[in-house]
Amino acid sequence: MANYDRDKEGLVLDFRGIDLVNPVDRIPEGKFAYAQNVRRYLGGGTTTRATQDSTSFTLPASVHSLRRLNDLTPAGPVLGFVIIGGAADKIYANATQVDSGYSGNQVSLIPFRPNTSVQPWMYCFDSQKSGKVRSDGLRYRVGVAEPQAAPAVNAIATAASSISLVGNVTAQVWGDSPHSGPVATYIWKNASDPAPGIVRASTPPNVTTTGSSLIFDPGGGHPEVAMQWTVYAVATGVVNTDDTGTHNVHWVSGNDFGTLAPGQQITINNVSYVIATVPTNILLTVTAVVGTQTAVSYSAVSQQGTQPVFPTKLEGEGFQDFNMVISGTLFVPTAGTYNFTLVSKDDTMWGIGSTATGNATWPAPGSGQFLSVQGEIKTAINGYPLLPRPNYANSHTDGGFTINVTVPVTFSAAGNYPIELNYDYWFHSGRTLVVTVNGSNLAPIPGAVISSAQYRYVYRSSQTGALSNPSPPSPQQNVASVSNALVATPSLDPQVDSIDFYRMDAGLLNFTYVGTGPNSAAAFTDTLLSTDISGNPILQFDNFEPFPSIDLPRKGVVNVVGNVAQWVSGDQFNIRWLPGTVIVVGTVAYTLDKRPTDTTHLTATNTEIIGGVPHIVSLANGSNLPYQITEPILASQQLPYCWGPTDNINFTFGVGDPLRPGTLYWCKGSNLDSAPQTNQQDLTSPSEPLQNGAMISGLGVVLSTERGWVIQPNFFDALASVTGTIGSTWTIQDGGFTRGLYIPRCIAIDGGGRIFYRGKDGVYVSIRGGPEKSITDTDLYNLFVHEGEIPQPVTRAGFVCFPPDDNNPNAQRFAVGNGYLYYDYQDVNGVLRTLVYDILASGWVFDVYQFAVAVHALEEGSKVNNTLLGCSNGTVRPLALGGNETATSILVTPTDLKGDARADKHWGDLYIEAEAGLRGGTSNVPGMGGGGGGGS
Amino acid sequence: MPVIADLQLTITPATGLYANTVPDSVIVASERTGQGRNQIVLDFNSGDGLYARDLGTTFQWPTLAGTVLRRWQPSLLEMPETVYARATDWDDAGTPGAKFFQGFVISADSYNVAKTFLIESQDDHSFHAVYETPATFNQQQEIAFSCDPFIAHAARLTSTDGVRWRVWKSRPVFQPYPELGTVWKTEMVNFGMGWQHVRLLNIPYIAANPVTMTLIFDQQANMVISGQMPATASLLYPTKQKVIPSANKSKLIGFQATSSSPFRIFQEMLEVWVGPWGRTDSYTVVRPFGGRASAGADV
Repeated sequence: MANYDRDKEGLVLDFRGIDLVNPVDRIPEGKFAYAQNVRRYLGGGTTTRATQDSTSFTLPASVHSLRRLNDLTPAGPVLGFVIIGGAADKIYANATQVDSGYSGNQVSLIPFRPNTSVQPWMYCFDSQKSGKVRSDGLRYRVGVAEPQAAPAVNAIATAASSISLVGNVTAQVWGDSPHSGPVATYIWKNASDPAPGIVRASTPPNVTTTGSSLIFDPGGGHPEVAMQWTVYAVATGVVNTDDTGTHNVHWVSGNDFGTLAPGQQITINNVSYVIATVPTNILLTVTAVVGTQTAVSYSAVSQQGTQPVFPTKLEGEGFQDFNMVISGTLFVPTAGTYNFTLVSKDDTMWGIGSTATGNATWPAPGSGQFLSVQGEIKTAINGYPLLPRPNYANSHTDGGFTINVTVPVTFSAAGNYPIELNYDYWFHSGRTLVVTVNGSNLAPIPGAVISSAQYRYVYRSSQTGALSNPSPPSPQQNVASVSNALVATPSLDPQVDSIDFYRMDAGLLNFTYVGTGPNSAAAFTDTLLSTDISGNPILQFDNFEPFPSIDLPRKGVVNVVGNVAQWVSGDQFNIRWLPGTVIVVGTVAYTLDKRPTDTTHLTATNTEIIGGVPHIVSLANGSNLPYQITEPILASQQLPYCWGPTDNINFTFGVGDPLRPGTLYWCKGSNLDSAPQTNQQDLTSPSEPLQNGAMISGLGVVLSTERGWVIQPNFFDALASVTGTIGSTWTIQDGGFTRGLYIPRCIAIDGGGRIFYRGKDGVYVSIRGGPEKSITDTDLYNLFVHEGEIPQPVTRAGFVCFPPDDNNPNAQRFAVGNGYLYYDYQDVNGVLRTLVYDILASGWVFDVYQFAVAVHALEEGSKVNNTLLGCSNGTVRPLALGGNETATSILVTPTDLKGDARADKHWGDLYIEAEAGLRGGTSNVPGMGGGGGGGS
Repeated sequence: MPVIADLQLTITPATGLYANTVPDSVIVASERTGQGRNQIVLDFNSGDGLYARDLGTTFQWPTLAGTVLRRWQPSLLEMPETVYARATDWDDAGTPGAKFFQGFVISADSYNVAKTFLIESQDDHSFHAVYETPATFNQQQEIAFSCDPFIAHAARLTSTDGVRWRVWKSRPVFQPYPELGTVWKTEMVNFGMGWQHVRLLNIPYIAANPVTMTLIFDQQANMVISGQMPATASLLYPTKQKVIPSANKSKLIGFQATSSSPFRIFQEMLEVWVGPWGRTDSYTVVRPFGGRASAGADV
């Protein structure tokens, strides 16, 4: 009699996943024909998974996005966290709606602490919009749009009430005077001057020095002695004022009034006055009402001796043969005509330039006058038009070439006007060079001033530090001032609570931070001098709203009326076109000075250099002018797929720009609210779109539909600047992938350095961005498309296993929760399914929940170890040991052939070993799980 | 389906690659607990078991129950495969030599369908009808089958009716038979005697042609005997023919039978009468040659 045969050990139900590829009678050991809701929590056995717990909260629609935002700061929520979720087109903080207008697809959720925030925010990126949410539900958009209007600038107090000098006067001295050089007449000229002669600027000066006046040897200098240059000094101190009887100024501290004289200017508490009477050391009067002020600052200038223009002889005869260029700036407080008097010996040419908005004019040479001996019409260095002076015959004697001429100069507007004197001296006694206005010496403006200022401003959120790009610049300020009132256009963005003002002026080469005002139209007063703020941060031009892109080329026809282009036909304007976009109207190229105001109106300018001064030129009026923009710069292109941040400097990457599918974008370092134009790199052709990416080992990995790359930092030639990064930020290294990312949302990482992602024909894992390996070929090969063959449902023991519907990629998502990869998808019938990959067991299992799950998310943070489920009914609930879910666990063994595929067997009996499990408790860790209670 | 109540575990065995669920009505579940484990045994068909190519099991239980599954262990007896026309292997029943085949005893299952099969001779590949066919095996049955006897060294079962069956074992029914030979020649023997002589021979044989008998002596000339062993009437059954040699005397004697075609001589039924020279008693009957055969019919 034969004995019954049996495997003494039996089939140990050590769950290592299902195998839908092999027939049920050829399934290898450890695999099962079908399984649902089971796990390998125990060795040598199969048990049930954790179950859905009670509802944490409910959203109004199917949940597509989830991530926990921990906020353990004192300002954070009581529980120390909030769950940021997405359902339909809305974003929620727990159950409270905080934003809307999203695409309805899964949102990229990145927790990050902005620069000036103690609390973390959840940054939400989507194809339609982006936002950031704080743990209290406060929501702002990502990035800040730049101001569209330049600040209005008004000088509160001009620097002086009479014409003065602004800043230093510069003297350049050459020792090659014609009378000591190779030629016999004064022939130096400007390079653009049609007169004959040698260009002065082509020869470097022997001496360059600075001073504070236009007074040289006022009493007549001796050729053997160095030319003396009158010096003005500044007296500063503290005074009290009153208008008792006269307008009195009482010295309190600092320099006394001993060096001051009537007619001089004195600035008191940033307001300029004229000294009326001879001061005593402690008292002076001014010509205007000064008011009652106590302990306010004052400054004034007075002559304090002389300095040699050049102390060392330039040639053997001493100081009797040289020529000199004097450059300075005139402060003209009000438009009008001023009488300029030039006294010189020997010869002098003199000229005055214009400002961007003001012109200086004067009569043509009258009888006995000309502009110059050799026919020059411009000053030698800066090319300013020349003022008349006596001709040679009228001014030359054997004793020298003496000039004394007065010219009425009319200034069309207040402002800072440049002046240049070209002086030539050859040995005559009585050497002098003095310029006066209306009979008075030109004194420096008391104290330092703000001159030639231009302002920009940026919007700022003090809560996050988010900054906008700058506003258009204000026109260069004509009037030097000691204080300016700046009025910005307030932002309508609720996150903006501050406006930062920046100034560029004669002493500041870059727009430099001046100060901050509230986000309002209230005036901000700028009283700081260049020297005060020269160490302040300079303006950044790379704070684009994430992410700047390039629009399609546009063209059409416009009318330009009042310097505003009005759309007539063709492509309408896009209000996301950024300033700096080059537009050709008619045949002239302009640059947008701000975004189009609407889809049919825009303004643009270009710059012309006139008389050495840049002039802003607006659109020329005209009708039916063709316009063309070959490369519109586009603001705030929303990217649906973002990941990050990197270690060290925190960069977050993004892809998915429909206008540039092959371009990788990244934010500014440690600033998710800004994305410089330089922070983008074309990785592939648009024919091979970049799909998404992930962070691994602190580095980014980006995948196209066909390939993948590791984004390594470029350590050798990348340089940060205020306009972005110069050079390549990254070194892109091919990871050796043979499969790309097919379903953009199907990519997830676990802490072990593994990237799981959906290729076209299955699910793959890449270790630290290296070559991938399939984790479905063995077990789920037939659930994925191969060679275009559409996979069909697989039935095992009556249980139907539906493949994912790749025609609905937005319904497919990956998430990893400490050892388990969750693959949520919809089948062809629109039914939500979940495949779970046990990373340790290297096997798959179906999860069939009581409440269908659309998205999984690991609860991140300390003292929490749950997996959150976003369900199709809008509920958000955790997986927990001892939840209250009604679900069925199923395990289908392989069919046993006992090694004989053909013959029937006589099955005697069946032995099964099982044990009761541990269930019924609740999770013992805080978080969304373990709370119990609440309905479903 | 059997539900193990304390585990809330539903167990559903199935066969046919899960096409056939084993009915609940034929399953009896027994459970024993100990050492923290639940040992469950499912019996089928009141202990008769299941007959199926494969066996699998579906386990279902409420996820909240948290039941842990540890082992799954069926017991079985292996069974022969199902065949249709495949002949059995040549069967000599473990006995070399020619045989007188009379039938087969077969243990098989034709799934309760009448099955027709033949017995094929290995020697001439002739097919021999089996009297009791068509035969029906309802599950595994052992049945004896007979046929017209034939002589062969081995035989097998063949079938062409397309009816499936599975054969656990088959056993031919036969008797040993002498081999065919054209020359039967013995060594020289003395039969335990000195001078002696051969009185007569009674030879059972089967021959298609006449057989010449030669007596070989060591003390006189050999003796050729012709015409006394003609061709036999049957080539299946032997004929016993008396052969009378002439007078002879020798100490050692040999025998040689020859024919133009192979023939059989049955040793058990052979009679050679020999006697010592000068004997006073009767002749001694010896059987010095021929092939082995049974002493009697076994059917």
